Amino acid sequence: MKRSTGRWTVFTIFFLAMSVIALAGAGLYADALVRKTAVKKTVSSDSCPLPGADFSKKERKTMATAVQKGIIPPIDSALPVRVETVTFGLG
Amino acid sequence: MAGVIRTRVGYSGGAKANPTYKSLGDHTETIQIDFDPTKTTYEQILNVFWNSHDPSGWSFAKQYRNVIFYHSEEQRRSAEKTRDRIAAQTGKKVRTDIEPVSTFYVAEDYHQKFRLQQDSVITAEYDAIYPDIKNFVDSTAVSRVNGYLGGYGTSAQLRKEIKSLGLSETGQKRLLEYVVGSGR
Repeated sequence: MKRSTGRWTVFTIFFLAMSVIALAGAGLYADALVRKTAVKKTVSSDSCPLPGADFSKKERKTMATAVQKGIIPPIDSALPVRVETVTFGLG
Repeated sequence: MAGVIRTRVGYSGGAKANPTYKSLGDHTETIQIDFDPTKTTYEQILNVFWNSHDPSGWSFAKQYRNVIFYHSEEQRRSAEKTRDRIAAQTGKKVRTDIEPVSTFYVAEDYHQKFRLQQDSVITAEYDAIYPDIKNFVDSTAVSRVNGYLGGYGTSAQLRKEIKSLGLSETGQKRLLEYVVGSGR
């Protein structure tokens, strides 16, 4: 009887530990996905000139999540639709 | 300066392909700025440019010459108009060049956001956000903090946008103390 209870305790602890690891892993994976999208759509050189209004509804949601989680700075998620570029040489 | 989205330094104006700092060829060291035209104008940026150098001064090396590279006919007209106005005001010949933009080669990583990279604490915070140097360079937050550390912007302007720059409480305090401490 005691041996059986011990086995169940070990199994429960093992199950809980695995669940915590799986949840943490899923969380990290979700954050990585949000980061990838947010960075690509904001600061990535691939998106220059800036996309601004080209964000889809889903991308806007991802951006909001990225800001909320501190993955990207808020100012980097609020880019204008159009930018102008200037180049200077300053001796 | 309000409306500045991105900045990067590099080499432009020459014929040599893929110049580097140690092999610049006939290029000039340049800064390229992306800005939001609804928040600031080309003329306002031109004013900052003209006030940042002596337009009548000679540049003995092409590497360090004063030059405006225009990206459009509209920019050319504005640049020439402000040049003529300065010449009339000072009565001196303006030696700052105005020419069409050519290929812009981004300078080496260690030249980018130079002032910010000298502050290891704030740099570490942005390194954690943008481990890839290309993203670090293209970040608006990074550009703006580099500007504040470089001596531009007031503490009042910084207070308005500090929460949007992605810094921790410690980083915000450090940046604000620096700007306030430098009397701005």
